[in-house]
Amino acid sequence: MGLTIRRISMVTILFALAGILSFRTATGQMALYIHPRYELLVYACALVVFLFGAVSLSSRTKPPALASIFLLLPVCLAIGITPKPLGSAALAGQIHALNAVAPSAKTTNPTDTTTDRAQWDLYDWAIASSIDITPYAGSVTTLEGFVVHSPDLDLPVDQLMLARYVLNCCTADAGGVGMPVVWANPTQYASDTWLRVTGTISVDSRAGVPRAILLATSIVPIEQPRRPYLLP
Amino acid sequence: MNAQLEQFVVIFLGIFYEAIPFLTIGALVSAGIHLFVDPAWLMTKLPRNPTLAACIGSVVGVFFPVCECGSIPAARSFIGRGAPAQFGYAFALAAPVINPIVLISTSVAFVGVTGWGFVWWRIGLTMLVAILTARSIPSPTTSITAPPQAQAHVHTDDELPIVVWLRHAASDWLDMLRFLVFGAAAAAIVQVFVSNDWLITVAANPWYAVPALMALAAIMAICSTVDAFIGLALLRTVAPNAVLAFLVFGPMIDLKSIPMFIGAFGVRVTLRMIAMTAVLTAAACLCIGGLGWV
Repeated sequence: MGLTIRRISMVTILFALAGILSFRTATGQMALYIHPRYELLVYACALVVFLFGAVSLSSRTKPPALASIFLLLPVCLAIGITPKPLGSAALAGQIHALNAVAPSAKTTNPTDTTTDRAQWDLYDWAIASSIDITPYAGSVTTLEGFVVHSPDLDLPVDQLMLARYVLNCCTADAGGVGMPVVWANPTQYASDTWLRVTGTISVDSRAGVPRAILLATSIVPIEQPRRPYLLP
Repeated sequence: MNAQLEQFVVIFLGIFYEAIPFLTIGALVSAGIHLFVDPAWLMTKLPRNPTLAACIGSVVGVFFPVCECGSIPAARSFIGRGAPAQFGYAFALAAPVINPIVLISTSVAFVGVTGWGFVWWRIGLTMLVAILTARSIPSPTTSITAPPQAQAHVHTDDELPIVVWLRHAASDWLDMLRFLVFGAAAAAIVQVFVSNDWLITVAANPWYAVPALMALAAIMAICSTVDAFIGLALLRTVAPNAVLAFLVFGPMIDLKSIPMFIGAFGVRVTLRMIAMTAVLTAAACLCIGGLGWV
């Protein structure tokens, strides 16, 4: 009897995991955790996990007890906690690594002068800043990102940090990119609020190294994008 | 919910969702080796000389494009089916780098910035460290085998081979899964509570940069298929030899793979692997940096 209950529990957990993998991928929520390039692989994995459950049903061997317990952790977290992307709190531990991006990881070349700078995202601007931002002063652009307020950023009172994460593989390697935005009342937007900001790129040399800041002309709160991470 | 707990959940599930397809591939390959590879054939085809076996094991990864989540169960199956232990150890350590996907991603990331030299250093150093580490570990006195559940399978003649294969794969998968969950949780906890900033600050010192970047690689537990792009970003602030250490050590040893190594090969072998790979990688990268070769 005990063995039967253990097998049923194991099979239920396996079917639940297969369902979670399929559902999260189909609804786009998997993009909150991993790069979309892995989606097909996750679908295939869900099918194999389902088959593992199916063959375990008729198995005559004892399922490992500890495996069910360990498997319960991701299954319970996936079911019990509403999927959310990384936000401003996770940036606190990597403020000094903000905008530490790899130019050649980007499939397009943002420093190509023929590209439309109005369409550049925070990742493109981080790459341009890492080379030399000065030639881009005066460019008009529209950026989307979430608000970060942190004393570690050491920003003047009229600025907020607009940031996003760049994802290469999964949330374990997510790195932040961001640009200070000059606005009369930056505290009106709480941390993690998603904004669409239009403005003009300016160069701030306050810290000794020239860096881009955005002189905002319009700020509009927006919904969190379906794919909140920027992808190389 | 507490912000740190939220961050833990997002990072833990990110590692888990990303790793589990590769663990599944590894379990299917492992079960395939267990069922379809004849031990006698392996014994005749692979050299019994430990050094030669380790050399071959370090390059077999080109046929298995998986990261460590897949290479560890496959290595265990190889050894369980009669391959020399040094072949399996070298395969487990080197395959996460010496495979087509990682070689392409490393080339794409570095060739345009540093030229081919960096790519060749990554390949050569990974093979060297894997071979020397595998060679330094004596063959186990007790046999390394598939998990008890896999061995205990009773299958009748009327069962389809694919069902038998899936049963074996499920056993291997469940056996390794607990180590993956434990490792992913450990990596997520460390990422949430230990700021990466201090490691980057320490890495500014050329003497500390190599061990600091190795520690960062172990903590971040990034899949080897994409770590080249993280390494490329680090190249802006950290010495090239330290980035090389990040790219050689990380795919071999990280917080996610250590529990899997323990599950497959035991604590003593795992500790020797960690010590040898750490010492060899650090020594080699410090020499390479000191001599200005990268």
